[in-house]
Amino acid sequence: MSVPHVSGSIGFHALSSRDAILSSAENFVLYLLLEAQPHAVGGRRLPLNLGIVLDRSGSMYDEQRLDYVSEAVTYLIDQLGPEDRAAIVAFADRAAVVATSDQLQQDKARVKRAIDDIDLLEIGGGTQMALGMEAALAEVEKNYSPDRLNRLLILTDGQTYEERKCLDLARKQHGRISCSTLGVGIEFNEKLLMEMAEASGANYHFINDPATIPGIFSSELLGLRNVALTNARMEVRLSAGVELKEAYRASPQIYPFKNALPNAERLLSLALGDVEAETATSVLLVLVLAPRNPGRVRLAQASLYYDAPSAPGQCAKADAVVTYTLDRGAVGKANAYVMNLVDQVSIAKMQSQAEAAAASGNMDKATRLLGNAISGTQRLGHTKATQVLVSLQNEMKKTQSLESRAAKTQLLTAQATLRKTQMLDPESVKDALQE
Amino acid sequence: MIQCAECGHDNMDGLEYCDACGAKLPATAAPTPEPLPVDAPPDVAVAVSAPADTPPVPVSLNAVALKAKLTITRGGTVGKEFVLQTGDNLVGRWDPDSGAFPEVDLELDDPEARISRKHALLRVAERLSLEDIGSLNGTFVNRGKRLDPGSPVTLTDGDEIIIGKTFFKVSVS
Repeated sequence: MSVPHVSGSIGFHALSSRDAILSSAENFVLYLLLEAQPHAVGGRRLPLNLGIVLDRSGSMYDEQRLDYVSEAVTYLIDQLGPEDRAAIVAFADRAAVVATSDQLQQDKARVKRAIDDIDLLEIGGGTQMALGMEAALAEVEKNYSPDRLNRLLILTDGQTYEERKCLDLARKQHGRISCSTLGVGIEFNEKLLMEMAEASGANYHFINDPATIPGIFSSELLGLRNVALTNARMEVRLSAGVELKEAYRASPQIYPFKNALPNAERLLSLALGDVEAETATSVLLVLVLAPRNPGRVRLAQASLYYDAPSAPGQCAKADAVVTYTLDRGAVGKANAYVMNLVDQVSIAKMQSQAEAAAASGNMDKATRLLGNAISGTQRLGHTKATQVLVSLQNEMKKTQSLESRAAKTQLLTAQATLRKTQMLDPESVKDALQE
Repeated sequence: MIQCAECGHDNMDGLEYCDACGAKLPATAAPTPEPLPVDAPPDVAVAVSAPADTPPVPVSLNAVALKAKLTITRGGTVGKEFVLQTGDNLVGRWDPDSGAFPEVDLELDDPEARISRKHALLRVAERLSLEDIGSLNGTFVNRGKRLDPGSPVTLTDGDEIIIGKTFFKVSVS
């Protein structure tokens, strides 16, 4: 069983899929969930320091996209308090600072008019996202403080030039300035936007219908208001005889950690970024355990490092312990809470395997993987995810590819839907944790 | 190992979903408890599976196959005989959960479970050969050095083999 640890205002624990496993002659897979949950501290929140980066390329004039963007940004400006800072940057072939944070403080009405006139800016029609990021980062740096929540919100609808540079800019700011990304339509590179968000532990949003842009801005803002910790990262020391098979972020969004490998000291380091209060932030490790004689064994020691408001450099620890036994009767059922997340992570993995299979022309394999993903969401009772996957599978069967506009839209919708962790209701969570 | 019923992929015990096709795997077949030798290093990962692509040994019908049998000489029911059939004979312990249905089933002769469920293969063709297929406690011929898994050696009449902790005499005619 896990050893719960409460440090200040954070709960951090390690939960194994099983507390007891059979001493066997064969390697055995065990799922280990490392979950942190900061508690809200008396309504205190971090003041914001935002850089809003808006795509103003030619395609943004379609579908009234710019209208919805300016509605969303206007709403956001109205929500900012006196302690918050925000700068707004537009980019196309060039970048233009629409409003600095000083201008926004001095005259909100004037800034709103400038946002409304964003369609008139003469900055060309291309998609130079890196230039927009650089200009916004320079603005955010002016008000940078570890006691603020420093973040870029990047909205784009196109394939940018210099993708590598965008990713490097996001990565370089890790632990300082996080980077949420919003992709509109089907032309943008979702892999790039996801990776930029993952590099800093922020959010990725897919926007199919431009009319939902204001809603997504407001949910991102709610999340920002709720952030309790910044610069979180986890270090996991694996015991001898415990190998890492796969590592995933399991909540609040689901994605694989790329190139997650323990170092020579068997230490695995994972970046988590900003962490919201009263929201589970977790990592799921798929471990391969070597045979052992009966007894209690510590599989891993996990440390969670983070900065709390005006208290940087905090750490919470949790140990993962299991019992090896020869008694079949002692091996109970798997932990339902952990297995629910195993299911969700596995289904998201099947979807991306299906995507890869389809991309390499193996439509049979892709269809089979999607079929199994659908069985999974049905078992979990995730109606929305089931519908989305069925639409994707139908589209794929019809066109035998993922090239069509309809298929691409279904694919992006499926990715975004499966990426969002569906947490079990608090009551069943409580039971699982008490087991 | 759990073999996926849909695509045949071999998955590690404890996995929930097939690594290859995503099918839900049957509730983990609880592996047979198998204590390790006391002196076994606790942190050695041991892969215990027959290579999936081991080609079946072609058995020529024209060639006169050998007749071969094993007799337990120590570490089990001494004197018990196993007559080998032509072709492959799996040596191991019966375990339907993991799909181990050995021809030479040592379940009853191995109370300490020193023999892996899929331990070794004896092939009867023009010659008799023995191959360790990734056992935990090893396979030995004439008390020599442990056989390398996946590398068959030829046996002749009168050889002594050790499988786990059970000793056999080989008779070939």
